[in-house]
Amino acid sequence: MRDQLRVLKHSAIASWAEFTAFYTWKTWTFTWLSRLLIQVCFYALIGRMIGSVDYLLVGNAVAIMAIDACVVILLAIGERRSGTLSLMVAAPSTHLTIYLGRGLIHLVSGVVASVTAFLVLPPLFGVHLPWPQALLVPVLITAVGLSCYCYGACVASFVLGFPAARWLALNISYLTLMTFCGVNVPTDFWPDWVRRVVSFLPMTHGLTAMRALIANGPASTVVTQVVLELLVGAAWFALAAVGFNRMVRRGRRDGSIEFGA
Amino acid sequence: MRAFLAGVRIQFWLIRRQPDDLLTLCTIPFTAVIMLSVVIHAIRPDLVTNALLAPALIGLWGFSIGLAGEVIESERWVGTLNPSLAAPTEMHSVYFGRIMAVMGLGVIPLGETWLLG
Amino acid sequence: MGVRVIDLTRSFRKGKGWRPKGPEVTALDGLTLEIPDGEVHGLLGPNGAGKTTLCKILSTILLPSSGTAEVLGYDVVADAHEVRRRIGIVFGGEHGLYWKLSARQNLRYWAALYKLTDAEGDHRASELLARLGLTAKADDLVETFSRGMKQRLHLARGLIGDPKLILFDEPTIGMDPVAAHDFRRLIGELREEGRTILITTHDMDEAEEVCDRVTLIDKGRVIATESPRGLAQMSSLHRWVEAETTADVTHLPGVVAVESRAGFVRIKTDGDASARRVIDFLLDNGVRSVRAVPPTLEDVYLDLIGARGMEV
Ligand SMILES: Nc1ncnc2c1ncn2[C@@H]1O[C@H](COP(=O)(O)OP(=O)(O)O)[C@@H](O)[C@H]1O
Ligand SMILES: [Mg+2]
Repeated sequence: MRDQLRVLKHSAIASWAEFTAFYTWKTWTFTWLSRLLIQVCFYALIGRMIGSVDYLLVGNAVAIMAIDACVVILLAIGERRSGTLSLMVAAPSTHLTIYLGRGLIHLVSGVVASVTAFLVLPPLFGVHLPWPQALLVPVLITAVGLSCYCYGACVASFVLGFPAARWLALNISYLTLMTFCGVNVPTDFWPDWVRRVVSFLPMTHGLTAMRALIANGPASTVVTQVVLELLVGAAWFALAAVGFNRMVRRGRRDGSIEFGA
Repeated sequence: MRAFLAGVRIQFWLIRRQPDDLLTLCTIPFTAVIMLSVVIHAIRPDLVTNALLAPALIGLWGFSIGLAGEVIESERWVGTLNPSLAAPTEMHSVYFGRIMAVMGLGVIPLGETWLLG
Repeated sequence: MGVRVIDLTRSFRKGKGWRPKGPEVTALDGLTLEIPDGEVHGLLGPNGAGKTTLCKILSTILLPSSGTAEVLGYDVVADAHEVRRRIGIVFGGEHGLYWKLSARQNLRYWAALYKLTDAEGDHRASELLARLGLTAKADDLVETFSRGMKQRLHLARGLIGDPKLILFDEPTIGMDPVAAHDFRRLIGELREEGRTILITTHDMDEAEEVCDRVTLIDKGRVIATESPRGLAQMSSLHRWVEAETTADVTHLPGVVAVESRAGFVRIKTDGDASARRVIDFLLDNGVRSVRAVPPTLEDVYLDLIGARGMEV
């Protein structure tokens, strides 16, 4: 366990170094963060047009985090390009841990973006957040983030074998969450079977918890829904572990793990 | 004109080899479903046309901004921008060709949402 | 035993996709090989002989189709995890590093993956950076490194887990002569530390200089395993005579080939008797210097595998 945590730490440090070689906080703010905030504003404006600005604002402020959390899907190609995939597989550490560590920085980026959206946008749209419950917003966002991250890692484990499909997989993954998980319309808008599927996706329960929190709903609802969200995350984590093992096994069998790039 | 056509051709060729670039086309159905669900849930049938038009416009916009920018960006990435700026043919028309090809593809989303409607 | 490979076979299906449908290629065909602990073993063979395939199987990133392979007593399939803790992998070229990280960050990262604690990892990283002459550039991004420096860092990376067996797959490809010389010295040092080394190469001089024994393979099969000298003896078929002369020897019986350059000739003969005949003839016909030389590893290679293997 200590070993695993150390691997997680060092691969997170490495990804931080790579991330900061790519972004400065200024470029991150003016390109990435602003792009996400504009997206939230766009949906909030639609919300204003149809008279449910708070619903769409809250939903989308949480949803933008899913994009970052799913960026972990793209990292597989990086390992192949730099020729480190074979070395990673041949190292005596769990592949999933290494991989999760390498995407952690994007999860942090997403959580920060989401929290920023909650800080900046509600006053602009005249949405009121109850005090002091609003202090729990970052906690809920982190919970949703973790479970989206596990979901992303699970998709990543499949994309590892099909690196050409990585962008497609990324977009479909987070757009599915944004479309069906109660971001813009309540989940009971959808047919029954969709709703059943959606309750196994991340974000659904987390958003329910968030909306209950903001509407001064019962604490029990908030807690149950957060726990459900984390359970969903854990299930995706388990699937990701299985998926990674399968992909590595498949790579070892068909010889697609190359020395070099 | 020859350079322009060469630009168009090279761009289509690159996109064919890198299906990722066609991504915007796949995101449109999702955006359309989101928009539609919002207006239907709000019981605002008057907005359905808008809900269908918006993703198309977003598609066109995202496609042209994203890709046209990327044409120049990726060219620099591959390291061909500098030599081609110094090349005798007028490279501007090659770029213009490539960017127009991208914009041309950007029109597909319009048809796509129209079909969905 | 450092490495024990018994009747190892691996085949691939050509083609792309989830289920490639092309014809089957046999990369390794019943290969058997033993490398005792502490030996530097060279694997020679033409392109496509199966050298990389063997290295991949030994490094647990590829499964054999049949047969067994053991590394330091552990099976590469059943005990892959034990194997991974004990091996280091170095391949040629500039890959296998994170270019956006510094040299030290790269090494610390891999140290953690090899289960070293932070303190051990720091210490080992500094030690290896010093050993490979990278201390001055330790905190620069790898992307600013020259090719040679990247290769040295890659070597350091391969040594981070203190491996008992090191697999080198064409490590000197693209190295300049100075770097290649340093590399051979390093191999000597690693041997003295008691590590077992398997090195695949195209460079006969290199193999002759650093290897205790070499194995020639072709089409996934072993042709011969011997010390470089022993291999030369084995193909005593050919004896070379080197002489400084202008005399023409091509008409003598037993002369297979003559290469001459600026008054200096290398004469390939078909055996000791013929070589003696050539030397006698030269001594009678005016020669400034003459000597018989055993075939080099390169000659043996050409002899056993043919010229095709020399094309890279
Ligand atoms: N992943 C793979 N898929 C299909 N064929 C392969 C694969 N890897 C190796 N081969 C084939 O196996 C043979 C041996 O390759 P390799 O071990 O790389 O040779 P070497 O390293 O000696 O040049 C070659 O014919 C090669 O085409
Ligand atoms: Mg090879």
